[in-house]
Amino acid sequence: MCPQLPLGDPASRRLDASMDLLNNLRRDALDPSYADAAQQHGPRRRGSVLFPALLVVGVLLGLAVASTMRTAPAAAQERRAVIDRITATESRLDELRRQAASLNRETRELRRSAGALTPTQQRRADQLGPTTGADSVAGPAVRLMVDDGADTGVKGSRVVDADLRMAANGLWAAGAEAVSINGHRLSARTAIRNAGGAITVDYRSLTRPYTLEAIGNANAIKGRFAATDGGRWLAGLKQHYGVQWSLDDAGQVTLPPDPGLGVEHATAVR
Amino acid sequence: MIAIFGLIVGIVLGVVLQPTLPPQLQPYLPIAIVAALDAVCGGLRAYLDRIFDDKVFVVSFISNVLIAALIVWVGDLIGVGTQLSTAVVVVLGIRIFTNVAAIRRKLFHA
Repeated sequence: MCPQLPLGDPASRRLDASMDLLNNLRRDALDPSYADAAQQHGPRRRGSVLFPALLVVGVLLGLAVASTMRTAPAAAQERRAVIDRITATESRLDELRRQAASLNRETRELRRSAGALTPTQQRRADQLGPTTGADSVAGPAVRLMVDDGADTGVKGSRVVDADLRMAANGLWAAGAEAVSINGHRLSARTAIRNAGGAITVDYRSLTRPYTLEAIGNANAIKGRFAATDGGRWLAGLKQHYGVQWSLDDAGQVTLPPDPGLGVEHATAVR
Repeated sequence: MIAIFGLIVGIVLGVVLQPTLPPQLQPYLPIAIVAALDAVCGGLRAYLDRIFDDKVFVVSFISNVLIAALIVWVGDLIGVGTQLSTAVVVVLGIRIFTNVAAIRRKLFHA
């Protein structure tokens, strides 16, 4: 240690006097009490207090390590918990839709068997069922697959809700009798929108690639699609932004009813 | 050697049992640990210099922990908690570093 001149001496100000704090820290790192105690009653070895003190230190250390390890994956755990909740809610939603669809079917069967409608009304209901999306439809179909452009750097190469709306409208205009997107039947009340980065149909997010199935005269639809507004829109997308799409035969397809049609006015039969 | 054994047993107990601190004390746990580490390093250096005294060690350990926690608590009350906690950690860190350097010199040059 550097020798210190007595205070008050004008020459006592050492050059590093302004670093007194750091010097003190360095000098007193070993508690001066150890040296004083050693001077007072000679070297006294360990007593019985050492073991419990170190035990307490160890417990504190272990506690800190354990609590840090416990909270470290907290962010990952939260994310997993949120994903689990999303999956659970989605499967609950699917279950409710299935329930709604089967209850709809049951109601229609009951209405038919109860004879609640006049024959004309019943005929009209049977006609409107498939076209509005209330009944399931089976028949020959075409499949329109739309996917994002392969080069994601091109601005506009992602498929958005407007593209799917144009595609669906094009299929209707080409003579489709029932259309579905990724298995969700389109009805008069279906909403195709963007939510965040995903396209939602009836508030259900879709993942790409997007498959539109349309039941009708397959050859007629294929022939007329290119001339419709939707067909021209998709052709433009492919040409300018690299969006990939293809229209093919899909054989026999059954499209489920749309459970989201809902009931606005209902009157009791009896 | 019993001392080191005590330390290891304490760490294992802390990890396995995970005693829960009352929630008001939990923010002061890290600072208490740094203060405890400083006392332990000082004790180890004194032991190697053959002037170890267990009374001084226990007193320095307890007072370090209490004073560090008190400083941070008062800092929290007046609104400079994080800055004071940084200052406490800096000072204790310098002391720990100095002591460990002295220990290293003692162990490898003695």
